[in-house]
Amino acid sequence: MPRGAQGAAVREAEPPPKPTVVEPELVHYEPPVYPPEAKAQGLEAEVKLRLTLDVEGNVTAAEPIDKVGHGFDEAAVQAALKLKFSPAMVNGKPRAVTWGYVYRFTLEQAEPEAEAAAEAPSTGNIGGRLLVAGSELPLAGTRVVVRAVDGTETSAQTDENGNWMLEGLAPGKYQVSVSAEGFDPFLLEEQVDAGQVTELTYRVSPVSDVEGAIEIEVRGERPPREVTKRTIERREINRIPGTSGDALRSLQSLPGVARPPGLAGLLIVRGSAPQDTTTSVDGAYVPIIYHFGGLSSVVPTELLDRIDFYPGNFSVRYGQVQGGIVDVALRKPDTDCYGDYGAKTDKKGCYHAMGQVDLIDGRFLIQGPVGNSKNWSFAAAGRRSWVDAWIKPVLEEAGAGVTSAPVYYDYQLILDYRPSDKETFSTRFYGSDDNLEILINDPLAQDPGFGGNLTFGTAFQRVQSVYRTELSPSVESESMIAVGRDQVDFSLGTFLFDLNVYPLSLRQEFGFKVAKGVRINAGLDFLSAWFEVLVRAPPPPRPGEPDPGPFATQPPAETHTEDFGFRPGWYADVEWQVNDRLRVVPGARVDYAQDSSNGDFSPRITARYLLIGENDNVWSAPRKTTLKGGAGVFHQPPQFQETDEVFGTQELLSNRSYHYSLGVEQELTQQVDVSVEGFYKDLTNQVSRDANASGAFTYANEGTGEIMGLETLLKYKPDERFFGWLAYTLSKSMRDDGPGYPERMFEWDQTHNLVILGSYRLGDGWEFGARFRLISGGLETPVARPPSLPAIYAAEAGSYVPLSGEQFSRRLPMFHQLDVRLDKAWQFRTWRFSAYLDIQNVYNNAAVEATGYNYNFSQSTYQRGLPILPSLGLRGEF
Amino acid sequence: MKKWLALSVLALTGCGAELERSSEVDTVRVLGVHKTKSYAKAGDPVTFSMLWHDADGRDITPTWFAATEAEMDLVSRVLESDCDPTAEPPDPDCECLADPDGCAGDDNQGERPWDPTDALLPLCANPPRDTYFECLQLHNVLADSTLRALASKPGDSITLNVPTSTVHPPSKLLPQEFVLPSLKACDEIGDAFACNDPIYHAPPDPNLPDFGSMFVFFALCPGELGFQNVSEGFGLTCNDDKGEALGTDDFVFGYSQIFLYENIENRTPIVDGIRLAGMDVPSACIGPSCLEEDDALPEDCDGDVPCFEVCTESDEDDCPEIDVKPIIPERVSCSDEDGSGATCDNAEPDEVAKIAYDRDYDEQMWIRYYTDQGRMASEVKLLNDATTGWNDDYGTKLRLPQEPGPLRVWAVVYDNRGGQDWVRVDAFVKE
Repeated sequence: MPRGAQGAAVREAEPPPKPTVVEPELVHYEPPVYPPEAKAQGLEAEVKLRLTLDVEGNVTAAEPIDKVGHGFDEAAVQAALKLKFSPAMVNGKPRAVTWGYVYRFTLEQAEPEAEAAAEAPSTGNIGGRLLVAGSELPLAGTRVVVRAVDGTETSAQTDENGNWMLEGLAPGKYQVSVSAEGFDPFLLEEQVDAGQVTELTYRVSPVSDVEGAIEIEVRGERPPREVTKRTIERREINRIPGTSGDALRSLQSLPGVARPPGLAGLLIVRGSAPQDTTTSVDGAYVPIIYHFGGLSSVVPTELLDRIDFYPGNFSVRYGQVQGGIVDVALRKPDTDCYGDYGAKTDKKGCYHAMGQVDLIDGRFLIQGPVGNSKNWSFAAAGRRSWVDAWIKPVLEEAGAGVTSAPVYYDYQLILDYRPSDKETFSTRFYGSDDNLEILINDPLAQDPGFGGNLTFGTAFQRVQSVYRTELSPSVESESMIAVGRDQVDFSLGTFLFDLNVYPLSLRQEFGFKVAKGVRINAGLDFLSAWFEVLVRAPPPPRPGEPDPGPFATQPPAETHTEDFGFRPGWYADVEWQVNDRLRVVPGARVDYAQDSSNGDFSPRITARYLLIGENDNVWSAPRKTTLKGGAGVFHQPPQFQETDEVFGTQELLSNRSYHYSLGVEQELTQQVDVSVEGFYKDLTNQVSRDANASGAFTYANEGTGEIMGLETLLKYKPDERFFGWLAYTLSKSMRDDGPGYPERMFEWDQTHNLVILGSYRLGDGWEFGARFRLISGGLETPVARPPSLPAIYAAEAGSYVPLSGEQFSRRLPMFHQLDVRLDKAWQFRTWRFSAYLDIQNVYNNAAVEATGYNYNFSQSTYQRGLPILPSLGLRGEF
Repeated sequence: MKKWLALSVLALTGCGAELERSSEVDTVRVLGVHKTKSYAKAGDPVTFSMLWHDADGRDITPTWFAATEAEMDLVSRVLESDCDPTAEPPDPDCECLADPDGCAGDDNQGERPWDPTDALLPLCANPPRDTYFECLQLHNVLADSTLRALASKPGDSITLNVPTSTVHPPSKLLPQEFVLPSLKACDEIGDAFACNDPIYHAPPDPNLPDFGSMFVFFALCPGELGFQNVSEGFGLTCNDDKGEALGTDDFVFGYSQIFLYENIENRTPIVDGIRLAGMDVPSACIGPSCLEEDDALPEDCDGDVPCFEVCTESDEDDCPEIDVKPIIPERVSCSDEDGSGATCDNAEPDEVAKIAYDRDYDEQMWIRYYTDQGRMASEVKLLNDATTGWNDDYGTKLRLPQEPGPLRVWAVVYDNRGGQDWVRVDAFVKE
């Protein structure tokens, strides 16, 4: 979900009039309840909280800044919600503010021995570092005031690194306050102990709407340039039930994403064909995202930072695609240090390792700093399936000779360099390999062409570098280059498909902050590839044409092509914050596809309007209402086989699609948002097939289509206990293959798609989640109805060929399924062990995936999907 | 253990209710169509023979849809007259059906493409993109009962002549790609007809040799053939004595296709016999000779009839199995003129793949198994893979029936270039 933060531009501010600020003061203190288990274990902790105070000084929300575990966080939050402050005043008006507070849990100490007491120090020190919240920027030259219980004050000023220190303080409780221009006032209660140094790091938040304040831009918190950007965080990726922790499967739980049949790893986004949506890893195109077409994704979840999903109307940054975009971001290697029992510390430079096994594969991950470097870090991971260990005897029992049982690998190596928060450089090497070879001794009865020696293999490798830097306070640069190799090889009897591609992807984007509220992004992306493809297969049938007959006896045509293709694109857009409510992003993109000799111009515009701000006092609590919308042109070049000289037609235009969307986002509570968005896509120039005058097969741009729908997402954002959402999509997708063809439903149309999911931390390492889905059945083409025969006998194969009824006119029954997931983690002193049980289809619903027929199509039955399917995973990590 | 794992995997992959299997012959079935040539050239005679069986033992005669040259000429005259045979009330332009010489057709524009001979032609040659589906618009002539009667040729086999050219009759009603076969070359035919010859045409892939295609449609109907206008599928019906259309379990409509090449041939797979339970069965019949054999099933375990004991288990899955394996030599005698006795592979090289792409592929070959009693373990077995070669594990097992009586087994061997042959054996299951 797009975040609510409003971005801004850094500028040289004229000296602003100083705001008059009165800090809130504690008027009621609520002591926390010491967690019994922690007390029994003799554990102490300090919980720093970020409080949200309303205009009356009530605490409306409390969130631990750094969680410490063992029940301390929950106890602190519970007590903090009962604190009462006097209202913060800014320029004489009460204001809602964010406030820091610390609860310290200490057990009573034994009395020191008499002879030691005489030598014990009588004073303590307090100090620390002051940083801007959400960054590592120090807050220099800022006054820190320390007030004792008797009201006496001492103060210090932070140096250029944000450091400050006060020494020689009498032991006891002190109030530490920070008041900096342009920042929310900050107050904490701290303890000074004799003979000890109390060292703390504070992060203060900038004031967002105080007139004349310096505006600070924090990287990553800018609103998206798209109408809709859905981001799935790591916490969510790891826990969505029914996905066995597979990141890319979690996409199917989002609105606008249709459910593919069975285990198929297809992305069907807002009524578009699977080939109309692309997936990239940090902007680099990858040819496959699932092993064996759907078993598990090629990049393990542990290496993902997030998945950004754009279901449509995306910015000009992405081109040559008319459906949706999935951009997967690899994470920065973890070098954080943890104390006993996983307690987070401020230290860095530690190593981590993880090993996991489940029913399908085993994986490992190691990460940490490179040597003693503070700026270099690495991560190395690998995974191998072990399905081949048990599936070989099963396949042999089913009549197949197994030359090479199905096996997949994937591997990743990341090297990361971050000398500062303004510069990052990351180089990665990753790849994937699937292969199998079996001899099908019992060919398919309905088509003996599906028999004989079957080989299947896909592999890809990438070397990729990503470099982001701030060239100046107003110019940012992002560069990406990736080179690699893709290989797909498939053969069955005399049919084969062999593809070798050596792609080179480039992206260079600059962001210029040209004025207050105006940022121009301009960039170039470039995909080029040398490729060699060999295909030997019968030509595919025309749309609406019945089954052309068994493959077994269709004479194949063969094409062998070696060529070099390139597809550059240039784009630019303007992020214009017109005023504090309206943000508009117009842009344009020019693409060229050398393989089809097409140049395409794609203008787009998106806008967001803050209809109700959190300070407009419309709702009973500060909540935002945002309207959003967009329109744009999207082009996608023809598929390779559509312009091939043997199988296709040259001189085709790109497919074109006009996207329109309009929606609203409403904050209901601090944690809960709802978003409703209507979308409409008008497809033109779609590549369609038809017969020409001599009866040969030609492609033309005569297809059209129309897609419309409404997406609703009610989301509870992840907090320390719970995350979840309800997603509902209502849609209709139609196609028309050209003049003379009737309009028909799109084969992947799914009218209703409802997903409800959530995951709740029960405490003590337990977490339970569930996901329920209710989705319209898929469409299929029935066989011809009586008095026609349903099928005709093809003597050369000895099988029947179905005679088709109206294309995609029959809808299968509704799909529904409940999946649950249970996690348990045991945190030991130096390592952590966790286990999960993921059960798909808990109530064993026999979902219908397709209609199956007997040999002459006189009988039919529903083909059912997977029954109840448990999956168990075990993981150890430190 | 293996069976348990296999069942588990099958369960995990999801199944539907079990449906009738193709290996169980308990309805009207066409089991194979043998051709004397699966690759032929212009003018060649080709005999098509049908292997069929009706579990109900009805007296059925297969029907082939073909026409003599004279009949083809009549069909053309009907089309040229823009007659609509399905019109209600009847189209007066169709009156020439009763008087062919009265049909439209300008004899002054040269010869007709057909002579008044009895040479039989298929109705469909070189349809657009060489697909059977395009042939169905030609077979809409079957909508008219008179034309249907004309085009129906009864018999277990039929001999057709490969056309030399294809012609497009002058008619406003016909699509541009509509053609009829002719035995004449284009220079013998008048200008009134658009004509294409030779019968071989250039394929979409220029590497492939020129080729043609010919489709012969047939029907196996225990009642009377009829035709209804339908919005989907094809309108040919088989009606019972009440005039009700029979379903696909009682009526088979199909096609057999052969490819036409100037200089490429394809030998039919060679089958030498069959073994049941490891024993040779001398009484088996092979190929078209099965059509001449007495179709009577054995009534007892007499003479050469293989004999087995009935299964007395209550659960069919516990019944004993016997091996079924046709005798198919991997090497066969080459057809040679000098009598050198050289042998060749039964799975011939794919000459087209060699000529076009220099690929050393063999034919892909497989076997279909059928029985009218008991249960076959496999419906189809691989015999030869185009790349990995011969698979000697092509036999299957037959689970013996729980009822005594005659038992018939067929094994039909295919190659992927239209070649086909079979072996049939009758056995008896005794109490």
